[in-house]
Amino acid sequence: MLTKLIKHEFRATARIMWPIFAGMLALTLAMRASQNVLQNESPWLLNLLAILVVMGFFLGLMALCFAPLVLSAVRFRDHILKDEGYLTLTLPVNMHQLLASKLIVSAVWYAAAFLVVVLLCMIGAFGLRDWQAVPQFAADFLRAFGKLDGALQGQALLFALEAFLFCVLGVTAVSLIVYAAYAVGFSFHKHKSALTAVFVLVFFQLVQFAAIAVLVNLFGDGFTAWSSLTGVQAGNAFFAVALVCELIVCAIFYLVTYFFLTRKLNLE
Amino acid sequence: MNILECKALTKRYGGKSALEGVDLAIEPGRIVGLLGPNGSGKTTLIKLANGLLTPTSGEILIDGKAPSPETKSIVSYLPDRNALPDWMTAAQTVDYYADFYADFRRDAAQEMIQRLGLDVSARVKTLSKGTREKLQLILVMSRAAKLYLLDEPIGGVDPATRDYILRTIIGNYNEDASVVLSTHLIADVEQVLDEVIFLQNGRVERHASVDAIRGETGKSVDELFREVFKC
Repeated sequence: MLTKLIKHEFRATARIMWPIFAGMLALTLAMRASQNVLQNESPWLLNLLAILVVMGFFLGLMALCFAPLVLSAVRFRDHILKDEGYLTLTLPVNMHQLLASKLIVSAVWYAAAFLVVVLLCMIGAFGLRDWQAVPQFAADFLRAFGKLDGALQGQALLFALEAFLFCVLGVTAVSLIVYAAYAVGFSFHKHKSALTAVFVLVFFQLVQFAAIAVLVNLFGDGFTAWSSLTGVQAGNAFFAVALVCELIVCAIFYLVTYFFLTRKLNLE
Repeated sequence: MNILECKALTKRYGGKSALEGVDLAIEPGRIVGLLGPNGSGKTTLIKLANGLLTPTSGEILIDGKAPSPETKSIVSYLPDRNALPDWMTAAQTVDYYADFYADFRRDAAQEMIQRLGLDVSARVKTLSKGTREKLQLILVMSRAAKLYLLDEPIGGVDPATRDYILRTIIGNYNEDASVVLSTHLIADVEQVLDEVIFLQNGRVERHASVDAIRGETGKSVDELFREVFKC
């Protein structure tokens, strides 16, 4: 059932994400064209339009970074907490499968949005010569990474893996914080959206306080404990602490979401 | 074994009681009218049976089990609103049901959609309210479920649509299954019911077969309903 849920989740979200990607690609191409306008002596109106397109491109890139989160939140609300919930929550699937499908698809869209942002920046900035140098750059990067990994006895690969896990758990935690806020906010009879907004702010603030508390505890003694570690050991220790903290945040907000969706569900 | 059973079932919202100590049992193969005025607890009872709500106390059992993914696979539920995703086409809604419900009869759904003259490539949001309700009913009745829970299937529709809906229900339900339909439009459904449950203020006022009501009181269910729920 999980694969079916993921399939339908992709179907529901792709109809929003693909047009966003296509729109950003069109904006990037327009931005490239506007650069030619700005480089030549053009009428002031054309110059103004070109500047607006360049500004639109950078605003679009920022919006693209938030698109997966906004989409994930809206999809969660509409699919579970509004009228569609009468169908979704009577499917022969359990809540864990339902939440897992949403988190997996959301993480995939975050990754896709990241890759698209990188690609759009390359399209926006690269000339023909730069593109020709890309394969060489990739080969050089891999060779350098291989050497670094050899010198660090496999630790560079471990760092890369830890960084990847850090990102995956990070976006999962953000999604779960928003899901939990929706689940709690929509358990009330009135002002559901306003309460959800309040809970989003409260939950993010709590996580921020907790993160500061952890950092103060880790480095509060002026790095005494850390100074005895080698760079690699310190890096691994930092990632270990960060991953455990992210896991705890994920677990807490997953449980909050699960509890409110199974015990306090309040469909209209 | 009873297909639906409630034991001292109570549901409260805050301090307000929606159902209070409900005891009832429905056997397989029966068409049961869940009747009562607005706010009597009909929708709450159906939501509890679907696992959309959890009881405050007591229990509700579907085929002997508490609501779970397992019971949801044998219950076909028609909510009192459009629950189909607006962005889907009619064909995609059929795929959706076929994907999740092993008992879904795609051929039956396609035949009913064709008979209705519905364009399968039309998006749900472009359909009229009545057509959306019919599409949802077609999907629900295309399942060979053990229990059909239909919440106000004929509420707020014109008489011709009402006839269509009742014909669709009677013509397509699995005959070994039970159908529970909630309504306060009793005259329209009386001829298809085997049993009725009168709910008032969250309590079962009466649970009897239609024949027994007619025999004992000499009145139709509609007449008895008007007498019991007289304002």
